[in-house]
Amino acid sequence: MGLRIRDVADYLPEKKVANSFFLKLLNTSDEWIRSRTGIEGRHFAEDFSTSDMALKVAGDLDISEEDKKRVKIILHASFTPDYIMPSIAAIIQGALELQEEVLCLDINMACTGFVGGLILIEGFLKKDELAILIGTEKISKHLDFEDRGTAILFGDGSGGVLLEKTEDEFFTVYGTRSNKEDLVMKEGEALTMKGSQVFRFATEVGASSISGVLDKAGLEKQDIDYFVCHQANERILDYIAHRLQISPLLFPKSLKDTGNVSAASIPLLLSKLKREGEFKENKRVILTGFGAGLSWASILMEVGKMNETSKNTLD
Amino acid sequence: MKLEKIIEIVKENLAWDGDVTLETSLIEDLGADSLDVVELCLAFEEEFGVHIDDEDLPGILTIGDVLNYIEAEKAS
Repeated sequence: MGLRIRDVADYLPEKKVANSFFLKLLNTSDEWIRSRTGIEGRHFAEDFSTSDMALKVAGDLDISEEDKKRVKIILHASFTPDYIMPSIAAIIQGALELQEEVLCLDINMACTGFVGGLILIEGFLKKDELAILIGTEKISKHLDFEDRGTAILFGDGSGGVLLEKTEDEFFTVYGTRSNKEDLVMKEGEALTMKGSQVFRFATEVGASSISGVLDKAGLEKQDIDYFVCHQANERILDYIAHRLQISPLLFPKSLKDTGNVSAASIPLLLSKLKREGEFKENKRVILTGFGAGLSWASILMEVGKMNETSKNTLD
Repeated sequence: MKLEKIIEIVKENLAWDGDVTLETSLIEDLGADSLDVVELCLAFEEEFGVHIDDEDLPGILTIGDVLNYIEAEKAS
């Protein structure tokens, strides 16, 4: 059994923040940030909250009145929610005027959240049932703007999908390596990251989980159209490609304009690819997330033939 | 032979065409940043079959440091 992505939508806050924003705060330069991370800009939500962004995406998903009766679960993935309770998923249920018979919950798997959410939904739904999965982050409110190792890397935004349970192929690999030192954010404190350790972790599990899910499916890397990875840092993506001996061109990127948007990064990238016409036909993709936990997950599935009416904001 | 391979990996990873000696500093002379050093270590690990602990990275500053570390790891 598997999942079909029926529609994808995204939202990026209006305020664009170029690398030049950091020149006064940190000993850095636009060229340094571009060459070291691949990031040219990111968006900051300012007065717009995490739930505001999630609701924009939920409202932009193409869900008919008939579809609304089939939605059985809403998952919202984030490590930066504005509401501790109720769940943002429950807020979405009300905003979309869905029936009451819907399981709504928020999950926190940081940058692995979107892929983890897909795995949970695939296991929960019965054939022909629908689900909504949205990842949203407002990381800007948790940054230390004097820390060059994190301040320049992250941005805000939201992306989400309407999903339908199908009988398509769906293979998963996932794991957790408990660690509360390398990538951490405690209540009232800024996000901290040990860049070297996280680079080593991400490139190791990114490559191994892609290999692992290929093995489970009995497929070769040549059988995959795109490797859609969490958009953490261009160098991490390029190194995973190098480790697997796969062209980096098969690892599409959107972080140039968004920075690392954690749980929102993969749906933001899917939306960009859809807008560029990549999903007019079915493509076999591997979706890979990795991040705090430490956690990771990869899914091999087909993506394509979405509704053509979805709205996008990423340019 | 080991030194030549180390220098080859460093030059390739950092796209460096100039001279590299035992005394050459990865960061000061070749402009490597912290992630460059990690990428180099991963390449050394792959080539020489050793493990370079993250906690030891601050002590690996020059090509000579790399050579000494790898030889010590191989001997242990």
